Amino acid sequence: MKANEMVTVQSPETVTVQSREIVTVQSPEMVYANGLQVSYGRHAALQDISFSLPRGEIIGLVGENGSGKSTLMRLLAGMIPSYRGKVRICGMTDLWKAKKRVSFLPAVPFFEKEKNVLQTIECFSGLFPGYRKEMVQTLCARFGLSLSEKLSAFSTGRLALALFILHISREADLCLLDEPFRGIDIKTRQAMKDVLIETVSPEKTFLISTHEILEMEPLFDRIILLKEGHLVFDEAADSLRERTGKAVAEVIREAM
Amino acid sequence: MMKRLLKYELGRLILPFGILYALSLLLSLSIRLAGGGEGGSLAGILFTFLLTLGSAGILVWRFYQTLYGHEAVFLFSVPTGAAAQIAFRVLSALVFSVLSGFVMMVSSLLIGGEPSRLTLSLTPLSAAVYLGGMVLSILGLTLELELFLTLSGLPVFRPRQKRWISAFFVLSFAADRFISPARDRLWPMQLILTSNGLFFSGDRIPADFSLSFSLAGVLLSLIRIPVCILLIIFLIRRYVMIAE
Repeated sequence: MKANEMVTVQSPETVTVQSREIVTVQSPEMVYANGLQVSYGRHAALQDISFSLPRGEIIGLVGENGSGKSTLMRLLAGMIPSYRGKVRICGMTDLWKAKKRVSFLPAVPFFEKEKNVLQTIECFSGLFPGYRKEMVQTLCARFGLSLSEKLSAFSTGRLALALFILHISREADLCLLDEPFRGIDIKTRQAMKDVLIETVSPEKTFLISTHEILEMEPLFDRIILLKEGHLVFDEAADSLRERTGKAVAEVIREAM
Repeated sequence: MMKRLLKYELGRLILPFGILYALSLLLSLSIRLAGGGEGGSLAGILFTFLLTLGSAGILVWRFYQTLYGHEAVFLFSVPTGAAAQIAFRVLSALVFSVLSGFVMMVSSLLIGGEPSRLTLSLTPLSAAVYLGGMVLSILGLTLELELFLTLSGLPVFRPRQKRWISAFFVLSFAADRFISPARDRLWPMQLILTSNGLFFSGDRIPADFSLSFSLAGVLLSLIRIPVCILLIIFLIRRYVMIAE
């Protein structure tokens, strides 16, 4: 590409030059956020939050209840229209369009009780383009989740695991998981962690909000700590350990 | 993608509406078989009222689930434009509103009964205008209500924009109430199909039962429906999700 050509960013990985030549470039970060502010009436849920999430990492979003974790997740999932600041996902500022690249597992995920896993897979593949059916089937078989069993018949742990697998099997670059380990037994949590490690790739980023920091610490490449809607720190886990000489969980406990 | 969402939503609505329609038709057939001739008119009105209430209940319940419940988060995460998110909700509700209207008519016809002494016989043209006016007006009102519910719940518009949208619908409803009194007066009556043609039967025949009122209603509905559609297109193009 010539240096004096005007460049217009159209999509995260596509650049159009005036001569109509299409070249592909990589957005440097998965998420870029600057000065994000969200208010619910008079209550400020997020205040001046700035961070950037690199590609191909598992990032832990931690903080007390009410610190703004879920609000941040919902904002990145394009479900909060009224906010201040700048946010870019895969280079896109239109969060409505960025949904193609974002998968969101909320704290209380929706599922149709009367459907079995196979029917739910069909429903997901109908609604989400590029849905990886085979991946769900393979993972379900591996963890002993029956495809023909109704979701309502599953135990809490098995249901959480099934929904977790169903959501992360979307063709998405950014996976937002809002407290996926809440109320889940240790065996299922381990299964989820195994799936995460296997699924993360240089193109796929996971942002996971959790309170189980002690257990999940080894999983996270990066930690974002929120407190009362403010960003306390956004730092690589290794750098945090090196800088403070303490375990991440300890640093977080002190900062909270 | 809109088709897929529409298919999903129609699939979710079929069961509750199917039960409602089956119950309604079974009950009206039972009344007919039990020889409900004399009380037919009253039963017909009661059925129409209950079906309207049932249909509205199901639709409001679905709007709540798909706009504010856990299902809403799931549906909003589907990668579609805002237009598809609005359209699939409104269209599916509209489909079942029309079906409910049809089932109401069939139920009324099944219950039947002899036309009362106040039955008003209409020429085919007048009947078509009255009937068309009613159907269009109800469709317009339903479309507006469904649009209003969707637009106010969708995470697309900011609070100030939502206030403007609300103002538009309030004005539109007010205009409807003011201009279409003929339609409202027809509500307590029952439509009866006999071998001689269409009849409106009921205890109250409005004094100002004129063609001009119905024509005004038809005209208003014909204007309101495209205005609603244009408004949606304008709002989507102008405001949808612009990051500051």
